[in-house]
Amino acid sequence: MNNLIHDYPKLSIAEIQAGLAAREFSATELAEAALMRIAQIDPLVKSFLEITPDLAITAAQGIDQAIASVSAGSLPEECGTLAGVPMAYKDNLNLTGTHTTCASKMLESYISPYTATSISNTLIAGALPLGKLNLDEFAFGSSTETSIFGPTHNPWDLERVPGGSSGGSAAAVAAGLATATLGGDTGGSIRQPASFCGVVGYKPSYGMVSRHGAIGFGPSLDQVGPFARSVADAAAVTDAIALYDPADTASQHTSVKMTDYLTLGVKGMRIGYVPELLELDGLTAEMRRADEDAMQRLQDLGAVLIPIELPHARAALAAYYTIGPAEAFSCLSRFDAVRYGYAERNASNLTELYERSRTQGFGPEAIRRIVLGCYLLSAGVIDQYYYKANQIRTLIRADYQQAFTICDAIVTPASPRAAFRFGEITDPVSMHASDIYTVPVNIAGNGGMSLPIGFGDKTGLPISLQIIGPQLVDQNIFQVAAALEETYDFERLAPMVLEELITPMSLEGGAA
Amino acid sequence: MKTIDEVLLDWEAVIGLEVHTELTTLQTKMFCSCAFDFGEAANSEVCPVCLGLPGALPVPNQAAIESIVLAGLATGCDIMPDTMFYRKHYFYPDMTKNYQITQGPLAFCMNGEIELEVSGKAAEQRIDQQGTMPLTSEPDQSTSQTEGYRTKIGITRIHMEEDAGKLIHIGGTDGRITGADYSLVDYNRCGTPLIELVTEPDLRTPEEARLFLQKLRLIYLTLGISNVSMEEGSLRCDGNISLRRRGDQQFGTKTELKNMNSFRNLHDGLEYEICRQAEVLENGGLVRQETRHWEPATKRTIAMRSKEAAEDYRYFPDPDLTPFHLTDEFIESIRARLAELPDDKNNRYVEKLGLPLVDAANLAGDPQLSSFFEAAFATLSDNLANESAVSELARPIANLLLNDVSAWLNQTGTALADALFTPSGIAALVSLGQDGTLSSRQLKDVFAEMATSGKSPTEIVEEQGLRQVSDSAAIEGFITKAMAANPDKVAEYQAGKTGLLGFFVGQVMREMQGQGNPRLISEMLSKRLDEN
Amino acid sequence: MPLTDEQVSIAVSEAKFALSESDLAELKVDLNKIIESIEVLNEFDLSGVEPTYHPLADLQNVMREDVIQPSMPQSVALANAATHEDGQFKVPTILVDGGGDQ
Repeated sequence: MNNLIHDYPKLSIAEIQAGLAAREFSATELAEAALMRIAQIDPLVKSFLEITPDLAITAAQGIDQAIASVSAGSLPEECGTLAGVPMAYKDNLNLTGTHTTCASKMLESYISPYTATSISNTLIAGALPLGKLNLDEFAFGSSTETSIFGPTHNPWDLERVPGGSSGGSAAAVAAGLATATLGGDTGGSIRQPASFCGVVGYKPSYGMVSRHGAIGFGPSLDQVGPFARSVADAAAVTDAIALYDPADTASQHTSVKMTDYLTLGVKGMRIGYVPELLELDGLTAEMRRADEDAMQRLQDLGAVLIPIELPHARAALAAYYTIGPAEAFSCLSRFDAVRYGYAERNASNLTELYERSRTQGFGPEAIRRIVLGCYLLSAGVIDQYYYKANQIRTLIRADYQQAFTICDAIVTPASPRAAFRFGEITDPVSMHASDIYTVPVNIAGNGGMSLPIGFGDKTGLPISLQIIGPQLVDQNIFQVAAALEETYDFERLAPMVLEELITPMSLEGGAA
Repeated sequence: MKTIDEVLLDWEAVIGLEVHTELTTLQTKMFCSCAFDFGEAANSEVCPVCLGLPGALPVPNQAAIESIVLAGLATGCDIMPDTMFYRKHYFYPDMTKNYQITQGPLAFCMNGEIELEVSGKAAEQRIDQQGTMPLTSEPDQSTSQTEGYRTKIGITRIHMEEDAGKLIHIGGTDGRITGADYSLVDYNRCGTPLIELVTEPDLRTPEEARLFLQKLRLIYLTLGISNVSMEEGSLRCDGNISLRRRGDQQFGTKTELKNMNSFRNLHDGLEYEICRQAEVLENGGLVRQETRHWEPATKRTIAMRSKEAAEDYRYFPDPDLTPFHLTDEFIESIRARLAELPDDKNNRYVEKLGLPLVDAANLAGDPQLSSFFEAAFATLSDNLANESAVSELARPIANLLLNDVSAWLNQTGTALADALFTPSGIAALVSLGQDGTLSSRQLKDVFAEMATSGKSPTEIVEEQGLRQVSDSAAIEGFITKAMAANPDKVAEYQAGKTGLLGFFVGQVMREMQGQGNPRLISEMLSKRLDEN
Repeated sequence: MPLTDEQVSIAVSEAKFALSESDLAELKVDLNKIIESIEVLNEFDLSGVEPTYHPLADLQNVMREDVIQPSMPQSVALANAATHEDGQFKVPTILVDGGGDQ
């Protein structure tokens, strides 16, 4: 058990399953080890908003019982592909009986009466639910600084943001608190924090993973996806959650398994890159160097690099900051203090109830985007921005379709810069600019992954490459990512965690 | 205030209707799989989707889409191949998302029409007959000969949407919102599939509006897409009314009239509002653009809210829902399910079955009764030789259904569907009357027994020995007896007082305990009396 | 086009917020920065370009069968409400504008 607490953060999903099969440890021991590490380390990282020991232990005991029914060396059939994998979930994903706060005062005391399909798919596959993870309030932000519960800290440098909005999901994986987590990505909310925290973060193509139960603000942009410390782990989680769901009209039937594409290599694959995007002012030199190094490695592996153009990418941020707020205004109208959510008790009439509850329940960034969306959709204004943004979407989609006629995947930087310090960026427009590489992918509805490619030669902070695939052909992403990942040999766990591992914690000490 | 007839001499009323109909015959709501039964415990038929819980997603009910296409085809609409659902935003506590999922500029059904037939006194209110056709007098039906006109009412669109929840207001007077201390919300109705039909401003009199709504109700009933109950609120109608001086082209300012929850209220509410607007205008005032509420108790309309500032609903396509593309194949498959519409049925009853106009209209106007009629008729019509035989059978069935049967259903408050008698039983009963087995008096008695016991007419006839005696030898004996008992009357008859025939028929019938065939008795009696 | 004070006030009010004068002023500055940043939308020739509202442009007619699934119990439906009464959600007085009689 003591060894397990020590080793657990380094175990891959395959190793967990092998260990369970070999009876090296039980699922219950894994759950206890994970919970203990959270108790010890999360006070520094602050990635969890709620820890669910009962749910984790109950799930683990179920798996152990099933395992006990078969002979050692194997796992029973009813054990799914994520059996015994400690996982945690962005706190805008509903899980029955847990708080689902969206890191907002509005939902501070909200208890979910139902479970998001993405979470339930991981549970059916045998995952151990450790708890719910911090985010920017209602996913509005790129740093978790807008969470009313306070920001999550980047495990690589506790003075820095973990990125956002799924900052808690990225940090929990980097800190070895969960083997994999789920987050959501509307404009980069998986890929940017993954790159800030040096873990794999994957936004599937729109329609691959059910959005049912995910509290997004941009239904035409949102997608749920995994964080993990390796491409293989991300593939295993993806295969478990990318299932058809009749509750989401966009949900796709697929028989493709990402785990089948991890060892195919990239020899002969055509990989597009966008020279123009490497020339952007905001892109730091160390980022550019790392990206170019990664492209060189791909070429060395036998891929063909093809320069391509995405001529309308420069309008993507504008389209995103039009469509996103417009849809957010609409989606967040339901928070009216009647059925759920923060309610101002002293309201003397309905209008007061609405206005006071919403003004106090939502933070400034949420209010800013909702009001913006309300304006953008108003008569006379809607044609000027919202309609045009969706015309731009047509053009951006066409850009990608055109590009994917000559290449199998596209690589770009994941973020113009590495993780920034708390409070370093306050201006909303500058904050938005950090999404420049990720947003076009949401506008088009394609899949994209942040793959760690080392550390900045100046900052020493994690750096990622973004790999984009043709819409609903996400296996290309995994094929490229797995091959490229092979060429690197660096630690995915943050140093603070490794230090803990070098000095094993005693069972009695530390644990709360 | 002037009367409606006085007002309409000077003013033309321009009326358009918005008719909301819940698709009550469906099992589940529009965008989720909750049932929506009327009268369940509050908030017991809700789920994350219809309760608007964060993260829940809508999925459209295919049967609802089929229903609205049926409605569109039955009202002559074009079915739009490419449409989308939109979000219509406004904050109100009967809405769980504070937007309603509805349709945008293009609805599933566009540009239809319904033809009305207006007759009687109400036809006189249509001063300007422009755009109407005179009703032709029917050849052989003296009762239905009448003055009137036909007119076509345009249907702008029928769109699909979801219903809102129900609010009740506590602490005010009569459950009114104004003056209430607080309100309570039940979301069971929230998400109920709702179709909204919007007419062109083609209606000119309250009677036209009433007839339009009745006809629409009948069409929906025939299609089986709703129970169209104004009482339960599954059929709701708002009116838009404006006046203009006769001869003017420009429309006046309109008011929107709500709470007309019966056909009578629709008629009376519109009538009042037309007269009210005329008074305002004739006194030099201006009609305010506003929503008004019809109060049946006080017979007046009350201003609810001003609509001067156009509301901005911020419509945009719902990104949670995929666009619709209805193929010709799909539309034709729905068309194949289209039941015979009331107008067509009416014509068939008159032309093919030879029913009197009034009977045809009454039967065609009652989908349940007409399908009962069809079923009864079908059990007997297989071996009919010719058209006159068809008519000889159809008429008495229709007659029995529209008179004795309907009267009994009304008196006992029984729904036809719950009645113990069957179409084949009714057909058998009519046959027994047609072949002379039962007298018309006996037929009524047998029906009453069928209705209460559920027995077949032959069973009842056997049990009660009700068989009409048509055996001439038996009747002969009773005639002899009656003549022998009344020699003086026989003499009077033979002296020329032939009116006494009825007396003798009565005597014979009494002796036979009412079971004699009166036609046969009468024939034989006059023969015997004349012989002597 | 930058937003006017009135446009900001209308949007704030229609989105059901009540902000102080200083918050409104601050919001206006932020909103106008964002509006300025999205003006790039007007730099493209978009004539004849159909808008794409759904990211899976070929997906159509997704529907479900008309089959009942269980609803939530009333107690669960009401569990997150701040106030309820007799199985119903409770809201304070609804003020109706107009309301005058004629």
